[in-house]
Amino acid sequence: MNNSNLGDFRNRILFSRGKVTSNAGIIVFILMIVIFSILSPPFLSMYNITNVLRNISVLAIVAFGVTFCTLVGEFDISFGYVAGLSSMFVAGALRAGQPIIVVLLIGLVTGMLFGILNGFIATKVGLIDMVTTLSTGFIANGISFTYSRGYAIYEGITAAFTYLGRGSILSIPIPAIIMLALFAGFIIFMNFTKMGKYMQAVGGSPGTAFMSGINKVYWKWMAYIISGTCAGLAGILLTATLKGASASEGPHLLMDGIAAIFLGQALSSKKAKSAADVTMIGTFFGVLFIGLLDNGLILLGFSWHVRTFIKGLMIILALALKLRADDRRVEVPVH
Amino acid sequence: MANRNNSSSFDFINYLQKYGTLTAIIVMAVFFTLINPKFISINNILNVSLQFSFIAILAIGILFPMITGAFDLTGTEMIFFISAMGAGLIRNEIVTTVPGAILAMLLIGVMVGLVKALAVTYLRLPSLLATLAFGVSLMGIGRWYTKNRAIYIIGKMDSIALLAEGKLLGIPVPVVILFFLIIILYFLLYKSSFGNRLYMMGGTELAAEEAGLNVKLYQTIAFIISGIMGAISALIVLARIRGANPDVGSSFTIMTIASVFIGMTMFKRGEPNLLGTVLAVLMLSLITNGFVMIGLSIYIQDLIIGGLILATVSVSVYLRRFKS
Amino acid sequence: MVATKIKDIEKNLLEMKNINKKFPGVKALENIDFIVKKGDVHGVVGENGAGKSTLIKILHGIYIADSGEIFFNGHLIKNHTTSSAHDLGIECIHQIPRFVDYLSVGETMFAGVEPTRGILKIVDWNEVQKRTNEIFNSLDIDIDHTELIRNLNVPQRQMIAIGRAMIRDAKMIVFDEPTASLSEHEVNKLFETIKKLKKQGVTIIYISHRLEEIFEICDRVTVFRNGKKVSTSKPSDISMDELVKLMTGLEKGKRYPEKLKKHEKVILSVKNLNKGQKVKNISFDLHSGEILGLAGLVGAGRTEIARIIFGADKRDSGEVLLSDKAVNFSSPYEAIKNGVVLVPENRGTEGIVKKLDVKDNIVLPSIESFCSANMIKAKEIKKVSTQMVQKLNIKTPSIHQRVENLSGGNQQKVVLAKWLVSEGKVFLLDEPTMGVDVGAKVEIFKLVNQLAKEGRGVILISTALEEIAGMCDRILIMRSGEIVQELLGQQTEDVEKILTIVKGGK
Repeated sequence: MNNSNLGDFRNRILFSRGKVTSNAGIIVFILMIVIFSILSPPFLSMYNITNVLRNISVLAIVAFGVTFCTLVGEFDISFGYVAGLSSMFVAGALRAGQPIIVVLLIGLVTGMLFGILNGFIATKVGLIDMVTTLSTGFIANGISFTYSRGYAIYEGITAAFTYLGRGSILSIPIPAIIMLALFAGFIIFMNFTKMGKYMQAVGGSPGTAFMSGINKVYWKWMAYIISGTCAGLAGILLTATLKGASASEGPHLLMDGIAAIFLGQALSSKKAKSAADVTMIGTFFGVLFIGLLDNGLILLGFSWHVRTFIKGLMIILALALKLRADDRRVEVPVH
Repeated sequence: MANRNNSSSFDFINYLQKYGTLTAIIVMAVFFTLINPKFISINNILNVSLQFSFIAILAIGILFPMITGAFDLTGTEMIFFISAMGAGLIRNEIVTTVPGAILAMLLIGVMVGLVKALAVTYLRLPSLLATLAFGVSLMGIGRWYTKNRAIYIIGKMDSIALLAEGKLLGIPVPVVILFFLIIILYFLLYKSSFGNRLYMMGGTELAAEEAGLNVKLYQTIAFIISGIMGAISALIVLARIRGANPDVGSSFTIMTIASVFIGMTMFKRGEPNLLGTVLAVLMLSLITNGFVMIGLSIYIQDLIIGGLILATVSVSVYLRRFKS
Repeated sequence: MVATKIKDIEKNLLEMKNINKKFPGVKALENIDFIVKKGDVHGVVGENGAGKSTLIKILHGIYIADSGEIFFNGHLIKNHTTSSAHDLGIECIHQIPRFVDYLSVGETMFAGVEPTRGILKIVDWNEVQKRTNEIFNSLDIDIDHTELIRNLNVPQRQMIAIGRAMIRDAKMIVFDEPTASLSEHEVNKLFETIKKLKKQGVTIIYISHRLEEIFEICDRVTVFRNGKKVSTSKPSDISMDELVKLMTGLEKGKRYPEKLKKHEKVILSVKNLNKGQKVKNISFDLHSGEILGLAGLVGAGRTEIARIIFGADKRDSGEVLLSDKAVNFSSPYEAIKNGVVLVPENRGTEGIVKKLDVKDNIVLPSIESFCSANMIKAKEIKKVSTQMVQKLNIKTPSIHQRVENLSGGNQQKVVLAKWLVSEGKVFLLDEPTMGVDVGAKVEIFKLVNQLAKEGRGVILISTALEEIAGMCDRILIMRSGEIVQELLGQQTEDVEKILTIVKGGK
């Protein structure tokens, strides 16, 4: 890679001095791994790590989509619910005996439709991202619950489909491969394509983007569609890994997703100008962290509620420390 | 509202803005009754009014932080946590009188409010996430304490049930409590200097600072109020189910937020307000109850709420644009 | 015994002695002695970065001086904070006062100091109404106390801010660039209000870039330059030219490059352009190699014309022609494609993308030409942006520096670089030197001159008449949406004449 790319890479992906995470981040991460492996030896086993990778894939994909959306300055909170709905429809389609192509399409299209809806409301009607996506997410959740009447769907999941979720290629779980491919794809798109630059401009300064001839509406809408489709994809993998679908998965995903994104931001070294200043690699790190944390706590026998409580606590702590550290009130002269 | 205004020309847009929701409520009530006359049966009305009270009390509580620009997503979670703590105190006979229980739970509510204030006002965490996370934590602690089951106080303080099941002049006590709370809070918000200053925080912090106001103090008080309201709601729930149950009312939280938003669209000013919020809770309660009464799935609730927020906020945005 | 009228001795209301303030890497204020006499309207002028805003922030208790003392009304102020500033009666009116939209005038003005009854602190709205009317009457302001802030425009909001200051018993009011967004009529109204305030015994500090205003309303004016106080004098004792010299440190001849005399064919034409009340039947031509100035007060319609030409706003009727061909751009994208570019007034929100670095900002509109199959060719971008940085002398540690870390002047150079890369042929410059320090200003002027020399057409919009006079080959003076006069040749050098016409004379 030539020099300029490297500089760009450093600036945007690896942050200052080539470090991915802040010192605190690395320490906490390593500490956690050490503590868990001491308390439960199977933690570092190949089997376990592979499991973790498989499990975080769904979360990662959905989190990547949301992080991507923040590029244009929009935060898509509907991701959890939309993924849950997509997962539900996929399961339903399998149960009805649909061919796998149709099933995959249903999953993706569900997500895409919500992306289109979100984009429409955000750009044409002009509502704020939080309000829009919270509401559409709720609608998705409602549809999901209504469709399933509260029950989980377990029948009809074909072996072929299960392979998608449970299988591995070269001992890397398939979902993980998809996750890594998506990650690479996003990084390239965001930093090395002109579309990525347009989106950065739209998110960084909509006024300037307009005055530079960039079509704000188009790119914002695009971002929502991509985020929605990711949620759809995540839903497909969710059903594949769980071998079924239940309407309560959506909200779980939401909680974990938010935790991952913000933990990731908190542990990264890039200075956060605001709570919405997230990055792809930060998110990846956050997802990894949450995944390992969850896994470790499960191995130690903690129930879901305790784990959720701890996750909630961690978000608060991490955010507090991070924002504290970045919020040095320096008086800067404006020239 | 106190001494505020003003022009009285009648036009449709104006009418829609002011009375749209009220009209909608009346229309809906008629609609539901026509399909299922049981809708206006005493039994159903009592049912609805009870649920309406819990949620309304919560909603007017979180109204205060919302006025200062902070989200507060801790509705149901507060109810469960505080009622669980209260139930625990009662079961272990640490409090043995009804006033004692009330006081204890109110205190817990204040503490909950203080923690929220700590997170949002002092640590400056983004309110959406901080309160969401905090709410989850509250549920977690509560569930851990009750071992993820419902716990009961039957036999320990049965007289407390009066709070939920008693009637004053034929009106259920919870509704009476709500009524008095509305009066007190209305006074606080619209007649006192506190209210005026609180509203001043609704813009940017700079606006409030330029007015020389102590933003931190007022926001903290706002959160404390939301904690107290949560405690009162928890008390009523505790009295009603004689204990604490983690599965009660999972969608209450979103309904409270939705109500504040929808309430904002109801009056000309477009600010978060007391009457609008209460009316919105009423509307949402009626709708969800009505849909069940006419045979639709209860799961449709979330759908309705999501759709409603979108619809009302969009409409109000359009109306405003249309006017200017 | 002779009855003597005791005349108020001219006392100093404010004395700031020996103030020093340093920021990392920059000495903002050096040994400042600043004295304001009671009852004066005291003007404060200085280029960007001269230190005026830092001094005022110290006065307000927002910053703390490294050393020095502040005396107010003869008393030394210890532990100065924003609340002690309010207590002393020091109030500030900003360009655009920050209020909460959905509150009413009365509620806003009395927020924090509401008249209350009893221990329950019930607000006495009758009292609010009474006192509001009192203040407004004394200042001849015609706004109802129940009016919502949302419905008020900027000058009205300023009135509210003034009213609020008076309610808090202001002894000294600081006006910080109050006229930037006001129309001529509104400025006059503001001045009347200031005169009334003065009659009521309020001392006023008036900060402005508009030198003609200083001459109109101030009793004294202090000049700041590079963190030092240069002089304090009476406007009646000094000429505008001398004032500018004190502010910039440059002789008139050195401030602007030499004008070009030769013009060629018409490159851009505007015919019968109309848009509501803002743009009324505007027609003019722009020649290649020409710097055409649009002079006038805010609200005269100049920015609107530029935006219409650029395709950023719609027109009601009329045509825009590029080299005799009707183009009528409907979006900035089209304009840019055809070589018509705009340097906007709001640099921060419309000129640069703060988060992105220098090179990205420079290539943003033209990024397509730096891509192959949608992938960015980094090497080429680096080459071009490095060239631009050198050519325009943009002071930045590297092309990877985020633009928000650059000074105003360098940011503006990035904007100009951007349009050079996109091969702009017609440059519309809207207040290009706003927020730019003296050194960068001179460089930008040279640049603009170069643009014209190379055959481009330049329209320069500025409220700094000095700039218009110094740079433009031809000047169109606008008032209330119409072109009232055209100046050529020698006439363009006469600042006083331009000022007179701008304000309504001949």
